[in-house]
Order: sequence, then C-alpha cells, then structure tokens
Amino acid sequence: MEILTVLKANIRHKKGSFISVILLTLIIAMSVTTILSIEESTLNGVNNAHEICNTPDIYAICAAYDFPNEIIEKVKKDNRVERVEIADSILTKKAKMNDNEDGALMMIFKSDENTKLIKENLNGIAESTPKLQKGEIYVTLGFLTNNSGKIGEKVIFETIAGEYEFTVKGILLEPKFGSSMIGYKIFCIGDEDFSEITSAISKEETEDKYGLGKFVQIYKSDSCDLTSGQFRRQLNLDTGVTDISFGSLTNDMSINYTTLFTKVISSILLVFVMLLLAIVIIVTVHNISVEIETNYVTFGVLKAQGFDKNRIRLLFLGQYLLAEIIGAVIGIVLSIPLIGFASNIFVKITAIPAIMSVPTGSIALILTALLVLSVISIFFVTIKVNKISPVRAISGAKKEIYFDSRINAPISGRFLSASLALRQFTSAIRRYAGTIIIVTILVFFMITITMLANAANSKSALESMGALVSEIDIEPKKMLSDSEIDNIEKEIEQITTIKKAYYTNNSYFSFEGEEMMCSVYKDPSILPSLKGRAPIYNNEISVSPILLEEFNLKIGDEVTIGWKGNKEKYLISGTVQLMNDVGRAFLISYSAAEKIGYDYQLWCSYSLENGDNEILNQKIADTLNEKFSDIIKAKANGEVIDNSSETAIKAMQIIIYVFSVLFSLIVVHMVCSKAFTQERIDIGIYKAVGFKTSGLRSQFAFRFLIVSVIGSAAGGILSYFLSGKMLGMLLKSIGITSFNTNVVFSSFVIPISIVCLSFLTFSYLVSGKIRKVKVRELITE
Amino acid sequence: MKNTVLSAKKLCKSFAHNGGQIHILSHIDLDLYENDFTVIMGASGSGKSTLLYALSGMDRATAGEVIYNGNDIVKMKEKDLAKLRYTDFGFIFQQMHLVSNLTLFENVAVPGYLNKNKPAAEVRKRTEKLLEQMSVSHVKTHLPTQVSGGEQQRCAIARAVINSPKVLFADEPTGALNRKNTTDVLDLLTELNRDGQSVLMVTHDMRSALRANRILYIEDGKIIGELTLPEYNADDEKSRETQVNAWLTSLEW
Repeated sequence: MEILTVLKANIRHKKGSFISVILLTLIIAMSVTTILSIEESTLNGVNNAHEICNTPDIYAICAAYDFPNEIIEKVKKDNRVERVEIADSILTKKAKMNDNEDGALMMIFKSDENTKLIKENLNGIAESTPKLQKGEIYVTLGFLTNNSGKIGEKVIFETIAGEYEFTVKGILLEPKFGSSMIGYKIFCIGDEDFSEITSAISKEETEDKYGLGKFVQIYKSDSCDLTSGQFRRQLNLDTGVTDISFGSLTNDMSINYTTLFTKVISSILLVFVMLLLAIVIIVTVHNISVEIETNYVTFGVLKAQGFDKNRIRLLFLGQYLLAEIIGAVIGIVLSIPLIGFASNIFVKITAIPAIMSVPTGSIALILTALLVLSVISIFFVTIKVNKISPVRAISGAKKEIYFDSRINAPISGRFLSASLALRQFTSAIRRYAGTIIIVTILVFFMITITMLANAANSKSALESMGALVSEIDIEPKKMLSDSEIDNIEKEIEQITTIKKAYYTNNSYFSFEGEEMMCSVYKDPSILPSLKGRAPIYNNEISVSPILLEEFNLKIGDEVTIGWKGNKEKYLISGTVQLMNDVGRAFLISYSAAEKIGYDYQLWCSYSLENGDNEILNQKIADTLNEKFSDIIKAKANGEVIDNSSETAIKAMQIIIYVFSVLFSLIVVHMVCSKAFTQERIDIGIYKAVGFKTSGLRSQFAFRFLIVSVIGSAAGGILSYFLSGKMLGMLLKSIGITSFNTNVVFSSFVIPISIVCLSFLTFSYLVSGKIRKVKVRELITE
Repeated sequence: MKNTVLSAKKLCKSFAHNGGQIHILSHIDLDLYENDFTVIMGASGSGKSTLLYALSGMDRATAGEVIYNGNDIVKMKEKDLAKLRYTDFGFIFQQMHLVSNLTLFENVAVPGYLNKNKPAAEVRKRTEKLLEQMSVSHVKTHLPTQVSGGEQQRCAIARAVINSPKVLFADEPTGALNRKNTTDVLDLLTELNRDGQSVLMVTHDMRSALRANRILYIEDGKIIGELTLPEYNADDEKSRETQVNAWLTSLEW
C-alpha cells in the first residue's frame, strides 16, 4: 500500500517523464505490430490467393509450335505427378500502356469461370468476374503498377499477327506471375478476341517463340514428399519437361519472389525498431539515474521513514513498467488501422490483397523482451539507491551531483551564450553521453536508409549489383550482321562517345537439370568477376555466388547445361554478380551457348560518355529509329528499378525519417526536462544577474546542437564503415552479393542536417519552460 | 537634501490561498536615497524579503509602483528587467547561489560580459580587482564547492558589484555565515557604501543592522518605524547598538 501511495504521487508529479516513456513504448509497440503484421498479412494473402486459384506445383511456359506431347505423356505417367493441365495461350513480348513499353514475356489466356479479380480498391477479392466483351481485358496489378496504368485505360499488344488494343476492365488475381518482382505477365481476354487472335497467329505461325503458347501446369501427388524444388529438378532429369520451356517456376519460388521485397523491407524496419528499443532502454536508464540524483533528499526522507532500498527500487520498477505496459497496449491497439494502410504499399508489389493477420506470438515475444530488458536495466541503474544516506540527505549535505566533469571550457565575453553552453556541456558529459549515443543510432540509420534509397536510383550502384546499366538499348527486329551493328555504332559515335557496348540476351537454360536464368554475352569479360575469371572459352560458364552455394559447387567444377533438349558439360571458370532472377543465374558466352543450339539475337546496349544527358540520349534513340527503322528499335534512358519497389523504399525512408524525428522530439523533451530539474537554481541565478529568457533558451538549444553534432559525427563515421556492410548483408538475402556503397555527400548531409535541426528546434521549444523559472525561487524566507 | 534613487508607491503583494488572498505587503510608500545604507528589519514572515524582491524587480508587485529613473519597474518587460539587473541593480542572496560549474572568477565575470558597453578585457581587469578587494583572488580558479561559505559570499558580493550598480540589494547576506565571515562580509558592504554605493539590505541580525544609516521596521506588510543613524563607525558600535536596541524594543521586536 505504501508503495502504491508513493507510486501514485510519483506519477502525478512526474507526468512528463511518465508520458514520454508511454509514447516511446507506444511507438515501438506500434512499429513492431505493424511490421510483423504486414509480413504475416502479405504471406497470408499470397497463400490464400494460391489456394483460391488452385495453382499447380510447377508451371512451365512452352511454345505451341512443335510442342513435344511425348514429354507431357511421360510426365503424366510419372507416379510423383497427380495431374497435368495444359492451357492454350497467346505469347507476346511487348505491351504498350501510357507511353510505356513493357518488354517482359506476356501470356494471354481466355477468361473462364476460374478467373478471379481483385477489388478496385485493392482490399480484397471480388465476388464475381464479369464476362469480358470484345476489346476488353483483365490485367495483373504488377503490370498496371509498372506502367502507371489504371482501369479504363488502353493497352496495346504487339503480336506476330499485328497489334491489338484492349481496354482494362479489371485487375486479375494472379498469384503465379502477378507480382511486379516477376517479369512474366498474365492477361485474360474474352472468347471472341482469343479465337480471333489465335487464328490470326496460326496463319503466321513460325518457330518464333512469341506466337502461340502452351502453359504446362503440373500438380504433385500427395504421396510425393519431395520439396517443390526437388520435385522440379527430379522430374526434369527424368522427363526433360522444364528443358522444353522458356520459363518455369515452382509454386514455392513464386511465393518467395512475391513476398521477397516485403520481407527485406520488413527486416530493415525491424532492425531499425530494435535500435529504437535500445534507445528506449538508454533513455530509461538515463532518466532513472538523473531522478535518483535530483530526488536525493526525498529518497533520504523515505529511507528515514523506513523504506528499504528494495522498496525504493520497486518504486522505479513499478513506475517505468507501468508506463511501458500502457504504451505497449495503446501501441498495439493503434497499429490495427495502420496495418491495412501500410499493407497497401506492398500490395502494389505482391499484386495480391493482404489478409489481415496479427502474429500475436512474435509481437508478445518482442514486447516481453523489451520489458525484461527494462527490468534488468532498472535493476542495475537503481543500485545507487543503496548509497543514499538518510542523514546526509536530510541535512541537505548532498554533494554536488549534477556536474560530473571538471573540463573547464573557457568562458568568452564575446561569445558568452555559446561558451556558457559549451561549459554546461563539458561539465556534464556523462549526462549527455546517453543522448549522444541516441543521436548516433538515429543518424546511422538515416544515412543507411538514404544510401539504400540512392542505390535504388543510382546507375552506378545498380551496376555494382550486377545490373546492366545503359542509356541506349537496341532491340533487333531481325538477326543483325556485324556490319549493321557497325553502322549503328558509327551513327551513335557521331553524336557522342560509346563508353561500353553490351551484346546480350537473357534466357532460361537448364542448369544441372534445373531451369535457370542465363545471361548470354557476346563478350562475358565485360562483366567483372568476383572470383576466378570470365568464361571466355566455349566450354566455360561463370555463376553467381548464390548459385555456387545452392548447388554446393566450386570454381573448376563441371556442370551440365541444357537448351531445348541439347545438353553439354561446362566448366565453372569463376563467379560473377548477376541481378536477374534475384541472383539465381549464370553467365555464358554466345559462342559457348551456340554449342547447344542457342540462336537468339543479342540485344545491343550502350553506356554513353554523357549518359546523364537524357535529352541527348533521346535524340540518339530518335535518330537510330529514323535511320534503321527496318532492322531495330532503339530506346533511351531505360528504367531498371520498377516504380513499385522504388515507392516502397521511399515509403520506408519516410517512415524511418519520421520516426527518427519523433524520437528526437521525445528524447529531447525528456533530457531537457531532466536538465531543467537539475539546473533550475542555475537558471534562476543567471536570470538574477541579468540574463534574458531568450538568451538562456538559445544557450540551452545550443547545448543540444553540440550534442547532436557530436552524435551525428559519430553516426556518420559509423555509417561510413558499417552501413555498406549492413546493407550488403541484408541485400544478400535478395541475391545481391556485392553491393558497393554508393557514398554520396548528400547521403550524409541530409540526415545529419535533419537530426541536428530537430534537436536544435525541439530543445529550443522545450526550453520555453525557462520562462516559468522565477528568480523568486532563490529566496530563502 | 538627498537624491531619491528608488521610490515605491502604494506597493502591494498578495498571494491566493485557499480561495482567499494573503496580503504580504500592504500599500507601502518608500523612498531610497543615493549613498544610503538602508536596512529593513522585521520578524519572520513580516514581508521584509518580499519587499526587497519587489523593489529590486526580482519579483513583481501585485499593485502599486516602483519608480526607478522615472520608469515603473512593476510594469517593465522581462527583457528590460534583465538589462536593469546587469546595469543598475546588484543582488546578494543569503545562500550565495553561485553557478556551480563556473569558477569564482567566471561567476564574477559573466554578468560583466553581459554589459556590452564594457570591453571583455576591462571586465576581466575589474574582476581581478574585485576578487582582490574581497580577498578571494587566491581561490579564483576554484569552483564554488571547493571554497568556504565566507569565500563564496565574498565572491557573490564581487559578482553583485561587477557592473557598478546604482543600488545593491542584499537578502540576509550573512545568514549562512559564521561570526568571522559575517564580520568580513559586513566590512566589505560598509566599505562599498563608503565609496558611494547605495545599499538596501534585509536582515534580522542586530550586528548587521548597525552598519546602516537608516533602518526601516516592517510588520504585517507595513513599514511601521524608521530610524536614522549617522554613518557607521566601528568605534561607537556600542552606543549605536544601544540606540537601535531601544528603538526595536519600542516597536515590540
């Protein structure tokens, strides 16, 4: 009872501190709940969509021309296979929408009773699917997002039988290829259109893969206990079914790709929140420490009244745990409406509406960890309660406790306020150390996230991730001869210098019996090797480190590569960074690929001397399109990172920035309030000798500017050495194994300025309390 | 005829308490004269310190006027009051109130630096001189916690006069000191007054009051008595004490 009475009085008199701890815990609980729930809700939505659409375990895209029915029959007879379904489709590799051209492989199906739609507001699955009329189409959300399109707008497909225009009538629920993370795209059109286009293409039918297609869907039998990856690999080894396709995925791979970005963003945010948690602990410890010092007399009196050290420690424990529990509960409740809103950011990437789910177990675990850490830290910091002597406290003979350092920074008459602020800081370094650590953490994270956001835009960073960065991309309309390529390049060189020329194409090959993305380069040595050397001979390949690890291979090993049924052994000459298919890819020279029958025309991509000049790039593309319109199509300033990913990274950047500013506000408020309690008499003295309130406020704010500058410098240094490594670790999980930090001056300056400005502004605002300090407080009646 | 340096008219100070009002000062009229050493005496709770703080602008009166240089300091803005504190008024507290992380030298110099009319070098020179005069120059680099109470109070006096104020206010400046330090501090104040410094001091200590040439007695927020004395002379302290004692007895002190 006695503890409860004192506890109530403490909370009543220290409302500011109590509310601040509630707010800090509230932010943590809200963030943890939202982040974990987004991940869980996204995965729930994806799994649910796969269930509704009854997606097969393996799906493969094949050309209808010369379709090997005997392989399919073999697959059907395999006892690991439950059933095989084959759907007819129209294959086209180009769609135009809103002046954008999408060059991914497109599959157009006939809409039927199994076709499902997403509601227009993206918050669920539509109850019915209206029958499509002529000229109408259903598209995936990933396609709309990548092309900034919306329902009601037009989309034009380029097929070998000409162009067809459709009006978007709805968003297709397509869990297999719907995500903007997956290149292939699926569409549905009405019966009439499908029959018309199919018959038109049939008349034109050639060996071209962009004609009519067969979509092979293989369902694993219940008795087969292989994972979907093992199932695909074994089935292909036995039947060659994925070798005949130009693209195949397992259901697990699709789910993994679809949710990958959400997972990475969530991981980064979770690491950030964990550090915020560390800040809460630091602030709590700091607060308690100061409270013990400033309430020395009160605790002495309590001891004199019979409170033992454990009771006093229990007071602190009760006060802070109560605030944290209240904050956690409010945070969880407030996060519920946030989850739906935040999940919407990711719906544009997954293309599947999330199904709200709160992982209570994980959330409870993290929040319990916060409480346990608090208890431990409170236990340690309150040890100094033992040293309070009732006699000394009551006689008022407590030592000068609030100036812990005797560094005498000089006082200057000319810069009086600044030098006094510096003195206040140097004489209480221990008190400000906690705040400096907090600033360091905030700045470190803000710089890291700025670097990541810059990387999503920067060409050089993309290059470091293994992406091909070019300003002019040339798509051949036919097989180009060397002299035709020479003429094109001469035309470009008349305008500007070509820095690098890439002749390349990406296709799915079979790698050790498994469908694998392959980058075919005329000259593979143009890509820097991570280990070993480039595959310059026609019996060599180079693989990504992820592939090397996954297949337990090493440089010098021999692997079997297949292309449309032809197989050959190749030596691994080295490792290379590749971004295609999230790093699961390998590199081969065109001459080595030709050995197994590869005959696709390579694209030409050029990195130019004045590549940043987008107007000049466009001029070059226009000139080439004018002069070589019959053999090529040139495109300038191609985008590599899609809009939805960039939006998500920007959203993450905003969240981290907002939280950092919010945290600075609360932390500054708490630290300033404590500083006031400790320095109230000094403020009164300064006022008594003639200092103005405005001057004292500036002095106070300047002190926090010093703290933020030191913390920012430490955060900057930490970022310089660690941000790249941390990002590298996180990006490795999405297949980018050699992320080179793109250190830009602004990556450091912007976050540091925001933190310093926040500290300066908030401390000045909080220092408004100086107005309330009256000189009369110095009077001893 | 003495010049008035500070004048209070109908000065009132009251506090709200339990829904009612407690009147600490009640319609006080008072003139303070140049070069005078005025002492306010009274029992505990009589309002003497409140009067001192109201006159010095450290606290605002509830009603009435405090005229200094033709201006009413009761109505002065906070920034003007702040300026007054480092230009025209000096203040000595009973508990010294030195800034604990500034050395004695810095404690004295800082208010000097506030006065932008004086170059910093001149302030430093005057600080040195004052610390010398107060006999604390040997501990000038010490922090307040490292010196005795007497040394702290002497430093506080130096701080109060660094800007050569027109009026020096002192609130029980010897209240926290032992006998030896009390004498030292009173001697310093007397010496400053002899040099022309106007002093207004609150005390309930007879020995301190003897230094004044004018003693005001306050009771229940009203000045009920005034005694004028010749300039202090240590040789006639005995007779001075008898005179003051008799006067105080007549006021039922």
